[in-house]
Amino acid sequence: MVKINKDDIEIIRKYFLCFDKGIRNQMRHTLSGTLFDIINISVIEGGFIEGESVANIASKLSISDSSAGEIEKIRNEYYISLAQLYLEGESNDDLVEIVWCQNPIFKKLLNDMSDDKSFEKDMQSAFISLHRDEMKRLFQKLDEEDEFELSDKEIKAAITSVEREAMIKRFKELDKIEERGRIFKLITRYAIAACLVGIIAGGSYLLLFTTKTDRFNKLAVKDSINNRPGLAKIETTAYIEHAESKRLVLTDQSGSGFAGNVKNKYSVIIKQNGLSSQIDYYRKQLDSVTEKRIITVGPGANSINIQISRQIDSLMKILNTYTYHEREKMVELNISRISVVKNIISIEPSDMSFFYINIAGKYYLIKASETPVKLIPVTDNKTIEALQRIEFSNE
Amino acid sequence: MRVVRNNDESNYTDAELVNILKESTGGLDVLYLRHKSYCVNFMKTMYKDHEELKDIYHDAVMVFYEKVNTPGFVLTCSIQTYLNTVCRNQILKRINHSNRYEVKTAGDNGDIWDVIADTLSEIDDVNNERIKTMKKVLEEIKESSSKCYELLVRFWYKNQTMEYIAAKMEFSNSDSAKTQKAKCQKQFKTEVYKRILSWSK
Repeated sequence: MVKINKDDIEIIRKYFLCFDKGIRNQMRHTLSGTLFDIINISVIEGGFIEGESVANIASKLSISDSSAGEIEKIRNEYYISLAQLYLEGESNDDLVEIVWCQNPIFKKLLNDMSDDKSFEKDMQSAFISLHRDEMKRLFQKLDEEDEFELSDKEIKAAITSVEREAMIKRFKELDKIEERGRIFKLITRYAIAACLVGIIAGGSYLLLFTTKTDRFNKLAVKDSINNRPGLAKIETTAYIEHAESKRLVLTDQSGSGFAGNVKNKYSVIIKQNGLSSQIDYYRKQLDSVTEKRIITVGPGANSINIQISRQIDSLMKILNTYTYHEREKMVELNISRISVVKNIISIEPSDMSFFYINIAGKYYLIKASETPVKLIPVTDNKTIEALQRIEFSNE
Repeated sequence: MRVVRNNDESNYTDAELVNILKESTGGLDVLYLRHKSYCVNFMKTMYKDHEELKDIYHDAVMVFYEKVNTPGFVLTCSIQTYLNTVCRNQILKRINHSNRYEVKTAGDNGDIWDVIADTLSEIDDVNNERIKTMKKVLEEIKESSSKCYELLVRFWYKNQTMEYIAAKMEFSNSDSAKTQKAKCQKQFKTEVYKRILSWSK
């Protein structure tokens, strides 16, 4: 098998694409003894002109398949060149021979190449088809990207939608809880209000009109109320301070002064009512009822407020007052807090309608009175000295 | 196919997009994505087979693109309207309501009527061996980044005049553009026939 190298292929190409007979003869002469002794160029020439198959030509020359492929390329270029020359209106010996031999391959080529219109139409179709294939690939790629790619806008919209739905759900739940709580509050507070009215009414009555017994009771409100979620904290107990004692009335023991030598000894019952805690308690109740909206609706709302307010007012009115029931020899002190009553002093023992009381170092004149009288500290120095002298004389 | 990515679709009006498409394929992805969901949703109301809708939309966009590149094309309605109409016609064809017919559609102002081609233009049998060979050769020329490809595309595909091509490709005049085009075409032809002849062993 003869293998033709690249340089030899190039020589053969130049030989066939050069249609000048003179140059061809010169090439034959130059290459005889070398290439053209190995490759019988006339066999190739004859085969090309007559339209012999490249396989046959290769067989005759005993050349390798790869070399045969190169010969085929040369043939194709040779035919195309000749066809172009023909279409341009030119001619040469090869062209004449090839046409005369009715070379079928060349004939078909010539027909195809001469039909420019058909070629151009096919060319246009090729462009269109090519672009459509490209567009289709582009669109498929865009579809794939579009399916997996979410724009920022879409992501935001999706997240917003999810968050809003979650919020709406939560709001509905809170609404339900609040509704349940509201109904329960309403029921509970109506109950408390009813209790308060009863307590206030009863307490007021007892405070204002009853003289004998301990009118004040420890008030208790159910502690469980404070356990209700969302409710205002209500003071559960209000201790009403009170103290009662019986005290001997001090008189002048010095043997001088106004008393003379009369040594009347008598006692006075001292009752103390510490009103501050009670007032505080009602004030808190009032706060709870009004400001904290325990009861804002219903027929009892206003009257409860008024009741409590009146109670506070009435307590304030009697704060720092006293009553002195002469017949019972009982003094009732309405003060802020229970204080130490040091002494009860009488300047005029024969006259039990009045005396002085020493509370925490201050002296107050107590006169018989069924109605509350303001406790006013004694400021007169002479009286204070006299009272101090009596206290001293009794020590 | 060179793709110009422009995430901000609001940049182009319909008219601007048409001008871009006349020059290159750069605006194709913008055109495609901008109108896709509307068209597909529009078709869903008419056609059950949703698998085909994307293909129909592909064809509609190609129809529009090729229409834009025909000489003398003027857009007389919105691109959306045009695409919707083509899609609708495609669907109607598929459900055998009509074969090929002219469709009148209202333009944006409601007064202008236009004839919209409802399908891709017919091309010769793409399985024709010569056309197949041509496509391969064209792809090779394109890959070689040769000016020949652009020249031939502008003339044979975009149907542009030699004067326009000369201006766009910076030839000195239309004659030199013509000469270059002839050379390119000859080279192309030679290469195609070389390949065709290789079948005839």
